[in-house]
Amino acid sequence: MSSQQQQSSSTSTNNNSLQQPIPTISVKLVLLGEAAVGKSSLVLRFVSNDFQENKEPTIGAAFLTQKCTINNQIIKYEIWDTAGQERFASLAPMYYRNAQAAIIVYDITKPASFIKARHWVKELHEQANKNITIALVGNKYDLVEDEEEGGANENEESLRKVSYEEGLNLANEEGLLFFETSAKTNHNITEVFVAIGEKIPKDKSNESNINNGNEGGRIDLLNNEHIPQKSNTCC
Amino acid sequence: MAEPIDSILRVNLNTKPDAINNLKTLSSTYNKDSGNFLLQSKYNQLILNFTQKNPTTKQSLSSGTETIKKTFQTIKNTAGSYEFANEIDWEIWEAIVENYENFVNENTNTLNELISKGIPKEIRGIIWQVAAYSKDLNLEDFYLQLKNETSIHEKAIKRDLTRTSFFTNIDAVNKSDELFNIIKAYSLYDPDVGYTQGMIFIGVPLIMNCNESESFCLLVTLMKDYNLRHLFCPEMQGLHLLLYEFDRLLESYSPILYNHLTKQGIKSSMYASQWFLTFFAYKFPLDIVLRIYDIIITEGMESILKFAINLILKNESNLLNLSFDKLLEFLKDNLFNIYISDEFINTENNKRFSFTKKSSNSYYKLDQLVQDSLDINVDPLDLQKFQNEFNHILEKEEKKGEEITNLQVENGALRKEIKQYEFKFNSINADHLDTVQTMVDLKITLPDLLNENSELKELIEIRNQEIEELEAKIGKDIPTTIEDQIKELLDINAKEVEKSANLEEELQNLLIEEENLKKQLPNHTWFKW
Repeated sequence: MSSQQQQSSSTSTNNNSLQQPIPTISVKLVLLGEAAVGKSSLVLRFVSNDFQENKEPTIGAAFLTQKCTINNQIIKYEIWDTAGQERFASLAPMYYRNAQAAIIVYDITKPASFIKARHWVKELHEQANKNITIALVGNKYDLVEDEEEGGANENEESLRKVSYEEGLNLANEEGLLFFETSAKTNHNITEVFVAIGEKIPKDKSNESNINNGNEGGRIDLLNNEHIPQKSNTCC
Repeated sequence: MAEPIDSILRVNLNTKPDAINNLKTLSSTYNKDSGNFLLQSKYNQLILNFTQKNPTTKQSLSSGTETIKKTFQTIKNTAGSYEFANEIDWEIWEAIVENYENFVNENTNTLNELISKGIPKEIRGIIWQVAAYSKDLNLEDFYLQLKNETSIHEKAIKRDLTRTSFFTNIDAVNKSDELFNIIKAYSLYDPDVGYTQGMIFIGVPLIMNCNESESFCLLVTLMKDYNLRHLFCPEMQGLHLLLYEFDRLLESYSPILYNHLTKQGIKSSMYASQWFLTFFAYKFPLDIVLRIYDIIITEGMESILKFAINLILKNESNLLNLSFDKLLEFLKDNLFNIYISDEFINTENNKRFSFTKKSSNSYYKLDQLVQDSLDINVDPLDLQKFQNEFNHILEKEEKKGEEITNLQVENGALRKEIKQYEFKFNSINADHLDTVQTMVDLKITLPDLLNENSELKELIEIRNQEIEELEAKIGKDIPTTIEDQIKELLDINAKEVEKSANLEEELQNLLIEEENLKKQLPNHTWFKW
């Protein structure tokens, strides 16, 4: 079912691929970040398009998978969702050591979580795979959305404690993708995974495909067929 | 009193090299035909700890036990009159509460049997405290003090409390303040451990069965005397040790399953961390968790390995057919389904909190689960062996880590050096480039210069010739001509002088003649008019 959807979605974007079997690429992805910034919620939204208020703290780590089609390429994300509390950091290397991608999450209303994000960036640069694709994600955008769009009462202190620019600067300095998201309102969640899928270095055998896709495929991707298959593809 | 096996368990071999031999000797003093010896050993260990405490604490613990005995009587008197409580054998439990030591050593079989069938929920908290020897009146006073202090972990504890469904879904939800208090107080009591996610799960069964301060004492006892705090301390070494012991036990119980999991790339830390850190409370139904607590508190923390091994072995045939994704899911969420009672198997609704079911039978075959688990032989001797291996590995890894750190430092220094050389190289290279550029420039201008040079040479040649010619001219013509001219002029001059002299002489002669003529004609008047 899901693979048919993917097949049709890619054929609609590129007729040339009709004759070719679509290669599936597995991408190991790890989520890191301080406790309660919304790592598990981000994954839950991406994998099941669902949201739970007060999601359980993750003890140890959780594993989930999701497939999506990006530039005529099926990418199967194999996601390790780690426990955020500092104490569990000794377990983290096992999960990020072989990861091709990482999402470092912080909470835009919690400055300490942004500091923690910096530490994770450093640790990944030092310890992880050299070619790892990292996305920096400021979550819980829903908490500030109203005040920013509606022009909040100026007397009230803004809930936002980490500015968009701060996040962007860190991302630019370190060569990371950057998004502000809300797992609650499904804001920018898919975009994070699509951007990772686009940026991630692929095998040489697939490289030509990807380049072709990139040249003409950007518009397609942003317009329609990139949305992950919300189906029973998860683990 | 036999020496507790646990007192030799968990010792550092480097400080006690003969520990293994001691343990072997000691181990043989216990009758290991059943799990009874673990009950005895745990009790002996707690008593050993007790004797090492200071007199005040001893006094306080003894008074605590007396208080518990009174509480038991109260419960017995009130509950005894209700029909539901008729199933409880009050006499025997009373004997246990009154003299646990005697019961452990004299009626071990009976005790073992009673506990493995589950401690009645009315007196579960009492029995736990008696077995753990945890109620400490002084500590309770201290708790009341700690409870009013603020902890840096408060926010995190509150946040996790609201999102722990194991807790929020059960009757104990109205005890959230109490649970918060004991976890917060513990974070103050043991700042090295502080608060670790997972502790709330540990606290829930306690707060459901004991009052607030008793729960705190029991938590402290579990942490300290049952070694639970090693699971939660910053390096989580207790957890890694348990995982290692689990691996080794699984390897010996079911090599096939062990290999299958290894081949699928599954490590025990991926699924069993949450079993051990929460005593199975993270995903398991509460009534299973309570039964696990019964055993852990009476036999020691290592008995959690029995449950883990049993559950995984009972699901062996299922697990062997699954691959990575499905395996992880199954190991985390479905292991206990194998113990769903036959009568419920066809009802899809496998509720997590079966005790709410209005059924005379439990949703899970709890007795079976406990019995099967207790049948798994986890010999302290083996555990000691595993621990030695673990320490050895740890040591090696530490050395490796140190080596890596050293190499990293070295690497850093070398990289710095490389940078310096690169910098030097770059500046030299820049110089080099400049020089090359200059040379190129020179090469370009060289032909012009050469041309110019040869032109100049030619010009010089011409000029030289001209000079020579001129010199030649000067040497032959000019000097002779001038001399000749001078001579000529001198000649001319001499002739003119001669002429002039002749003319002067003639003039003189003429003047003389005139004089003479005047003298001859002195009075000639025709000149006068």
